[in-house]
Amino acid sequence: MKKPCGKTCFHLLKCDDVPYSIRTVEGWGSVDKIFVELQEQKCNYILINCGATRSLSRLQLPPDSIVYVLDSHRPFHIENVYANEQVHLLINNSEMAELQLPDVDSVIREDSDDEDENDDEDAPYEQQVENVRRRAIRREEMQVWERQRNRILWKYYESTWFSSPSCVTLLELAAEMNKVSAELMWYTSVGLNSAFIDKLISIERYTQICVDRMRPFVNRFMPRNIINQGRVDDLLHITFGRELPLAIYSHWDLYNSMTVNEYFSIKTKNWTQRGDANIRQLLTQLGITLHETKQKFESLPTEQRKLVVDVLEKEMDSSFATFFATLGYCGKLSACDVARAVTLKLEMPRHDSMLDRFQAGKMILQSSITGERQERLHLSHTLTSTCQRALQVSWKSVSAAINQSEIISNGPYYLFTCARAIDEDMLDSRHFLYNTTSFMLSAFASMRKGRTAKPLIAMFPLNGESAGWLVVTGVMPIATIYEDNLIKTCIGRAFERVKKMNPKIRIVDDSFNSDIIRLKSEDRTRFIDLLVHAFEGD
Amino acid sequence: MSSNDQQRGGVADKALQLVMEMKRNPDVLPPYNADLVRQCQKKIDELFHKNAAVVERMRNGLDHDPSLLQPRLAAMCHIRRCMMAYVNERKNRIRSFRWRYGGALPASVRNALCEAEIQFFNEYSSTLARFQSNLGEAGVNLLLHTAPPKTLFVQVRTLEDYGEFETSDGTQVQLTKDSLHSLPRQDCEMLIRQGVLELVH
Repeated sequence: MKKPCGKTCFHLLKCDDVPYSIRTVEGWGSVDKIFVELQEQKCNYILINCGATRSLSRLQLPPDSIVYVLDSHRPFHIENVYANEQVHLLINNSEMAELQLPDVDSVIREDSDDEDENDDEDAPYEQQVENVRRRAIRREEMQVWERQRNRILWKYYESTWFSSPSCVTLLELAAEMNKVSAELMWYTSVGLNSAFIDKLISIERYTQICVDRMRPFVNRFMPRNIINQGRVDDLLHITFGRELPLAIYSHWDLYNSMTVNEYFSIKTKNWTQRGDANIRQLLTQLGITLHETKQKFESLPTEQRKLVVDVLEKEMDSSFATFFATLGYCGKLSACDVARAVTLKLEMPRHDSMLDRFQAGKMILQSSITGERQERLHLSHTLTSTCQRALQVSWKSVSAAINQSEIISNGPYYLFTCARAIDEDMLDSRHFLYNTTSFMLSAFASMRKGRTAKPLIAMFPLNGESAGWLVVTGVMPIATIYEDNLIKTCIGRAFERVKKMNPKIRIVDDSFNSDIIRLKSEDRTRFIDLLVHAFEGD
Repeated sequence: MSSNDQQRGGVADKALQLVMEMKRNPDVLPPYNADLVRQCQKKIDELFHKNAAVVERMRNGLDHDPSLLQPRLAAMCHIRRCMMAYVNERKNRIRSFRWRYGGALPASVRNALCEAEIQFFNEYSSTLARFQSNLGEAGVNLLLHTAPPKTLFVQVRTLEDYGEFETSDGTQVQLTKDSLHSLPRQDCEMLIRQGVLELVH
């Protein structure tokens, strides 16, 4: 469950004094468990960011209860869309075309065979023959229809992607009910940014949502006249503006932030021996002194800061813009940085219970717009420790993978098997996995030409409690991933096929993201072989 | 003092043990130690009889040793004080249970009480109930709203598996470990005091 959504949703419920309970879920297993536990209760469920991609009616839904699903995972399971009265999916109307839902008739058909099962023995011979023939024709039709159906479903389920984040939908809902506030808008912008930094939505999509759907709120909560006065006071100001796509640079120093940044890292190839020299050379070209980059960004004089940012922005040629919150004298926070902190707090460390992590994430989110000293310190501590560590581990994995050529080409895909043990808790973070693998593939492709056409499958061994298991994930080829702005991926589908081809392979696909699975290490070789078939079969 | 007593240590050791028992368990109520209490009583009896014997001899004009009369008396008083402290402390805790658990005691606590204590608890409950119903027109529940409420609903986190819980408006809530709920404040105040729920800010 993504926090910003939750926050908005709870605010709405609270406004109407509706009693509610929150259960935190981590995978399909826990959803299932909760429904079993609550079998006897009659209540309404709201599933936030989970539940749409598998058939909910196959879980044991408590009778008489209604389930509302607000999920950004796509595509929907067809049974959730058509075949169930209990399940309601909440989506934006404008998205219908994108979904490409198949017709009801082509995928779901009532079984009508039973009516003529009871053919009476006493009927005349001709009629019996007629009956047999009719049934044969029907069976034939049925088979054709089924083949057709399988084809349609195959196409429908072929790839998975993410639609616009649920928090935006919730914000619109809140606006409809006239219960929107500046805080809600800030939470939403953090949620939107978190979808972007997790690489769930493309930059074009992100900008489009900012422009199309966030604009009314931007206009409403950012009155221009207040900003232009430039007064510093104790109030919360939310602004929207251009930002460098460098992770948490304003809480770090530029040098480090550039080192772990995908763009600069690939440009300077800083995992090679000449890497450091390359960076210096680049900085010279840009006209930025080492002194400027190696000290804390915050401590640079304001004008210099502006100058450096301008230069880097031109260099990176980005069109990234985000939201900022300014609260009195606390300094500016970008929604993007807060999103990183919240995501990592929410996903790590594993040994804390899900609810603890949920609360920690909530606290970080809240602390970004409350002025309490203790909370602010906590936030900045998270930014400077956890986030920096995650970025560095990510970069180190990429550089090690390339330096030691751990990425091999295996038929239709590239395979990376991590040889070193990575910090256990990182591997449970979707943010870390998605970012590392896509960074790795781009870095790998940059080393030689012609490496843009194959997907990358990455395997990370787990240790500690779940030793003997691998976390497997993958990214689509660079050449095709940005084809349609949706970042569609068929990796999850391929994993599913492998599982279907050989059910003996021990795969745990509990995650809501079908392209992150766990695999028993002994089954690794078999899995790799079958994956080749799965990709070639496409 | 006899040599027997010296082996066992001080004369009021048992009594001290009673007090220490309460002190070492500040958060749970240990079972009523009937055995120790009886031993303390016996000790007082024993000391009293010894003193009585000396006094008897004194009255009869026989040979006697009056030096231990005063210390024995002091020891008896001391033992009595310890026993009273024990009872008093238990009484205070039992009273606090009324405020924490309401009229019904959980089995774990009930088993730790002796007959007389249970009677005390029941009397205390009914006294409190009478007092509450005499306040104002319809009575006041003193257990509710011990802190001024800011909202009608509060967010709480369940700390242990509690099972089904019905709020005053009839909504049923399943309280399982590690879940968050938003409930009417007056309904969950009791559970918060019992440590089943925890307020979340």
